[in-house]
Amino acid sequence: MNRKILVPLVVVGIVAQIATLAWMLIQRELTLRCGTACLLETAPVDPFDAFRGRYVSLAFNDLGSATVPEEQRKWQRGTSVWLSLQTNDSGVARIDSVSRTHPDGISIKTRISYSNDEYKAIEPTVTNRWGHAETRKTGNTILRFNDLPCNRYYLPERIASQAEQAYFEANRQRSGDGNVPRQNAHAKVRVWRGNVVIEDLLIGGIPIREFIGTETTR
Amino acid sequence: MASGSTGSRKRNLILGEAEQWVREGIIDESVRRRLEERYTAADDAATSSWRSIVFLSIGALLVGLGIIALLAANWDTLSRPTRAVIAFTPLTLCAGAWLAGTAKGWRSRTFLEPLGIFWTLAIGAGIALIAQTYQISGSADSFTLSWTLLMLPVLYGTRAMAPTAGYFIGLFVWVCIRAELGMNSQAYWLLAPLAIPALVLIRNEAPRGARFMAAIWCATLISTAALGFTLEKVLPGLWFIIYSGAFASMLVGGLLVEPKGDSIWQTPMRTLGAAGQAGLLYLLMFRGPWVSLGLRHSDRIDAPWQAVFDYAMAVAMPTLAVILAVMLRNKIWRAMRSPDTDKRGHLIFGATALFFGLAPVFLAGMYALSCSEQLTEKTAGLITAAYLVLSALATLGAGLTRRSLLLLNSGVLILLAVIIARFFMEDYSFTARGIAFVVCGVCFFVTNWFASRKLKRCV
Repeated sequence: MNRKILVPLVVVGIVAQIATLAWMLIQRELTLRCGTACLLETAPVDPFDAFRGRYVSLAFNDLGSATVPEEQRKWQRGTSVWLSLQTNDSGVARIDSVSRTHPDGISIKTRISYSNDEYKAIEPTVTNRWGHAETRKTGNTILRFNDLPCNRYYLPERIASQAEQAYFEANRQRSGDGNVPRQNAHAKVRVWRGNVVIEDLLIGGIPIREFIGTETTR
Repeated sequence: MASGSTGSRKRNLILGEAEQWVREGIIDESVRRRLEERYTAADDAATSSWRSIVFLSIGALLVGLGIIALLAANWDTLSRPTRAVIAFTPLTLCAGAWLAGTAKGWRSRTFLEPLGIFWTLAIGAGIALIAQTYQISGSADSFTLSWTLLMLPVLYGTRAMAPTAGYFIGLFVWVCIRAELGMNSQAYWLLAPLAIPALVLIRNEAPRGARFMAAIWCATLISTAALGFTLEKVLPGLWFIIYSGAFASMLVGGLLVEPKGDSIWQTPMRTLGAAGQAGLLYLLMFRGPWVSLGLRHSDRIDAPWQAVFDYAMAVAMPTLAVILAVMLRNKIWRAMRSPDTDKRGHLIFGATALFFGLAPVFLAGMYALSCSEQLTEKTAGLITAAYLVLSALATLGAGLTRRSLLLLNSGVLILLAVIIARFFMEDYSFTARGIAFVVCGVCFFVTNWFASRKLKRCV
């Protein structure tokens, strides 16, 4: 390979490098500017990524699994799917349906982590010789989504541990006084053409940075 | 500029010969002193050049890692556009430096090696900062694959050690992560060959240089490990036919293309091929690998098409080994026809190479017999042990006829390992085992001593 081929090839490679980063940026910037806002109820754990800093790992109460009315062999692990979302009166989104093609409305693109057949107990109940209720396949499949594209929220290093503490305390029922409600944690996201970007993390409706500032003052 | 170690060897050879020439009156002392000054200066230049490369590379690595750490500290006070500009800056600077260097004709390793490291890290830093700014979750495998593939322009532009090793290491990390997630990673075999033209370029610049050797070692070791991760292993036992074929292909391919001589560093393919084949045959001496083979014990997988790779490799690897073995046989045959050649030495060496090279065919036959239950696990282990002993004896013989201490020691080591393993498998007392170990050790020393004396007398 002589230099007349090598140099233009490397230049094309440099353009590809810059274009890749630019595409990542443009896609998310457009999602933030043009996307529909919705809330996703969360339950967190806090780890650390050496390359991208401290983050809160997010799991979503109503986005972790869904049931579809088809056999398991049609919904293999690793298959790309679209989760159509429907918001309730409070603005919290839940999975409405799962499809293999891009649907209308608000939807998130993700991959199936696990799939298994759904079993339900026979009516009337029949007990087997081990004392367990007999079950049978319903023909439906339960899908699980562990790698949603919005499962991390990066925070500045100096407030990351405070955020972790705030999350644990906010999600714990206060003992002694049953009238103090549990404060829910939500991720405020923007969804656009299957892409989702987290705008903020809310505890009891208050942005996490404000919440930590308020708790520190108190 | 000669590379450090090759330059020193040449210098010592020339200066040693020059002293002999002075004694024989071919040259006088003043010429010898001029030769000494000339080659010492060249060697010092090579050594100081390597020193610069190493220190500049370490500096580039530290600066690059420091920048990643600073960016990862999450500069929350900066706006998104500012962080976007910062994300692009290291990458743009490196690309600019390469373009400027290319325009000015800068080709020294002192410039390209540190640039290769910094540029590789700049790509990772750019992806990481954008991911952090826009809260991009993504999985570790997609981050790793993106970073690795974007290293290709750096690899071709600089032909430096860091992006070369980084490319293969990145692909291997991606394979491991995919295996952890239970996902397919056979695309490794489409992505790894993308670096081959760059390796050819590196070889053309310095065929026996450290960069090329390090690149080949890296590529061979990682590909050998990746083979295991990319197999679906649906059919129990098929893996050892595939691996045997791979090791045989490396060994025989190495004998065909790599330089002659005993330097392990200079012959990665045949070193890995021979060591891997011997290790595999050794493992197959035991009963464990021969248990529950064949279709009856196969695992269910979600996507049957992924097992096609296993079946294809089980055919392709042994076939490749056989084709290369035929080519080697023809090469040895041609060498034996020329006058004044050591025919017996070539014959024994050829037999040794074929023993290891045709092992996949032998193992395929044993596998078929085991699957059809015509062979028990114990018998299969015994026959494999016998095959390994024959291979070891052939290696020993080749070592004696070719006057190679490496081959001789390798043959003796394999024999001793087989004896010790069989000894452990049977029920003997500790005293008996201890005596056997001592006897084996003494035999090893004595064989080596006699062989060294014989080889020295022949030189």
